[in-house]
Amino acid sequence: MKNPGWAGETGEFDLTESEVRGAGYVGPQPTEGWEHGGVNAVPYVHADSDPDAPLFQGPYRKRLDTIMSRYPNKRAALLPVLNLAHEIRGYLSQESMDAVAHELEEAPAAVRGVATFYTMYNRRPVGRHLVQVCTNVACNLCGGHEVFEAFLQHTGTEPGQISEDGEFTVMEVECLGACGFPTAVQVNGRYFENVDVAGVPDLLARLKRHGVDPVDGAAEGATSTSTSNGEGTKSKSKSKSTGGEG
Amino acid sequence: MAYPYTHEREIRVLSRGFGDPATRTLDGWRKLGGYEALEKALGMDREELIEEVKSSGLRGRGGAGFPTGVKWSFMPKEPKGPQYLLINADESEPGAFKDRELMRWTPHQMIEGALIGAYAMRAQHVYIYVRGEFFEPAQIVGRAIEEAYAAGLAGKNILDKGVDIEVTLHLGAGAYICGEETALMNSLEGRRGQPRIKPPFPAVSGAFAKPTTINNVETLCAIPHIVKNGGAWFRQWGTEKSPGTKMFNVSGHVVRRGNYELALGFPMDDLIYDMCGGIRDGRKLKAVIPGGSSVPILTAQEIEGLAADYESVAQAGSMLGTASVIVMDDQTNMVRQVRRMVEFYAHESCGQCTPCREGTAWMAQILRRIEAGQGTPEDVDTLLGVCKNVTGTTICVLSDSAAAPVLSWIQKFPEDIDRLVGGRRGVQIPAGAATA
Ligand SMILES: Cc1cc2nc3c(=O)[nH]c(=O)nc-3n(C[C@H](O)[C@H](O)[C@H](O)COP(=O)(O)O)c2cc1C
Ligand code: SF4
Ligand code: FES
Repeated sequence: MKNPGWAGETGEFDLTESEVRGAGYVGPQPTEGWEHGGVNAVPYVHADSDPDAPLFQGPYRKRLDTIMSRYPNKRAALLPVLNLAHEIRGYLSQESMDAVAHELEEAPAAVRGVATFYTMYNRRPVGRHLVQVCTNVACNLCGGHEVFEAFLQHTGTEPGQISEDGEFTVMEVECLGACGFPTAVQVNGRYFENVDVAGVPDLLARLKRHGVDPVDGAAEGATSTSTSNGEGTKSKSKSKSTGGEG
Repeated sequence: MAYPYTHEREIRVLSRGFGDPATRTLDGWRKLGGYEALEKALGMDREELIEEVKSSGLRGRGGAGFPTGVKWSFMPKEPKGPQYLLINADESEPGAFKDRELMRWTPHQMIEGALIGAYAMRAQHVYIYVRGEFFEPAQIVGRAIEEAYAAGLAGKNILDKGVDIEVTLHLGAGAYICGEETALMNSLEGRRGQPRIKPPFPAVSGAFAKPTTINNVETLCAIPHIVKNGGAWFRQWGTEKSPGTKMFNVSGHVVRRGNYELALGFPMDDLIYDMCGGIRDGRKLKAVIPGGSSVPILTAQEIEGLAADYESVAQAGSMLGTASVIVMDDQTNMVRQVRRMVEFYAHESCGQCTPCREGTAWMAQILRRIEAGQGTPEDVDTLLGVCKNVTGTTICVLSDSAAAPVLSWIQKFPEDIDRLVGGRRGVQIPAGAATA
């Protein structure tokens, strides 16, 4: 299978996808997070999240404590802790927000007021793959809007809806800061670059099969000097659908 | 080899590690002389260090171009409590994609620059505010922070010199406005990302009501090189008022889009036609946005012979901003792109100021109508009126940014207005409006 939507396909570039993405350098992500200032670097959007999972237990409790230790007051940990709740459950319910308020000893209304300001918090469950297509100017000049339409068409969804198989939710987003690689598409914690209309079906197939991990060697003619942690083709064991009614 | 293209006329100081996965690691960065500047800086007198940065003439790369050394000198010399350095890694300006590359290829370069800055300004905590969408760069930076701690380069008693500096990564959650420095401070404090009224200025009362300085990623990436080689060395490139090299991030209708590191003052024509291989599919140039979507649009004619430095671009009626060059060919539907940019600002307005909240939404609505062929000459008048009312009347310049593309489009592309609204009856274009 062709490796769709990867910046390495244009340019004078001969590194593998893992090398470009730094997968080997970053290594496996510890659930309990890194020890010091890197604690907030763990992704908070991924396919394995479980809408019913308990919040802030086990390794997540440890991460919460580390996060708190990095700020002069509890309130400042609000975004990182919301991120954590979002990572665990895949979206922020009223109840999750209240739990965060409780942890930080803040008024629930204050937490909700902040959470609703930021666009990255899903306030209802989404598909396992949240496909966010940039249609802002630099991408749009090169067909961003058409790519967005193609994603809707091939997943058979309306914007924000979960596809019937629970795999995809497609949304239009503002500039992703990858304007040199149009169209930029973010899927969970991963960017796909240079996505064009023709590449959309391939990309959706790849996501279903491999998730968002780098798939080294899948590109035609690519070398396979992978430095990744060798998990490029791992399939997620827990393919729990996060609800179908949208 | 850089990512994804390089050119022999580039001067690769900040970007020399691009395309080499080894540069990400502490070892790889050290092989390029990494952390030597930190060691040197910690042995220097703080005032001397700030003077060195001043003498380099380095100007902030986050858009405004304010001299970095001068900004650093505003911080209290005798701290009464904690002081902070914030790294602005919120990069959300449409067209800008340089900080992402700097973080994913050379995270230690940024961290080293920040440690030097924190030492010079007596800040004991550095927060790196990375936009929430940047998971990949955030992981790379996060790993680099952990490496720096493990090697005794961050945390307590750095390099045994008795200096303590904490470094913490902080992810945003999707809001362009958090790139504005006071909004960023509110967001860091766990509040809505709404800009604050100045004064007080951040150096007096910033994050957590303590003296704070905010610098862009690229600004801090230049610091280790300046400290190691001296301010005069940095001045060998660029112009008197815009010294040094700068990342130019080119997007849109060119053959080879990408990041190019150039001496400031580089000819804009050469950037587009030589480095980027000209306009794709053999088409002609129509317009260029030289500094991200917040600055006035320039026509193909205005680009001819233009030098890409802060002063020259300002003289041409626009701004160099983040040097995010968006190139549009002769088949571009300008009203569609202007409408899309204005929709962005309408979406991202934080809603505090009425002119911005209402004005950006009206402009988007009117532009949608004009795009659909239902506009009238009065609509153009209304647009001009709204532009005037949102410029210089609000807490931050987001609304001014929304007006810039609209005004410059109306002023510079009269054929669009003629075609779309059937003439310019009654349309009064204020002189010099597009440079507001
Ligand atoms: C609406 C708005 C958005 C901004 N976004 C960013 C941004 O994403 N990144 C950035 O570095 N500066 C941004 N700025 C500029 C910052 O306010 C600030 O000037 C800059 O970070 C200072 O750093 P510097 O002196 O190193 O350039 C923005 C400004 C405004 C008004
Ligand atoms: S100008 Fe707009 S974005 Fe800026 S503070 Fe006012 S309402 Fe918010
Ligand atoms: S405009 Fe699409 S990533 Fe910037």
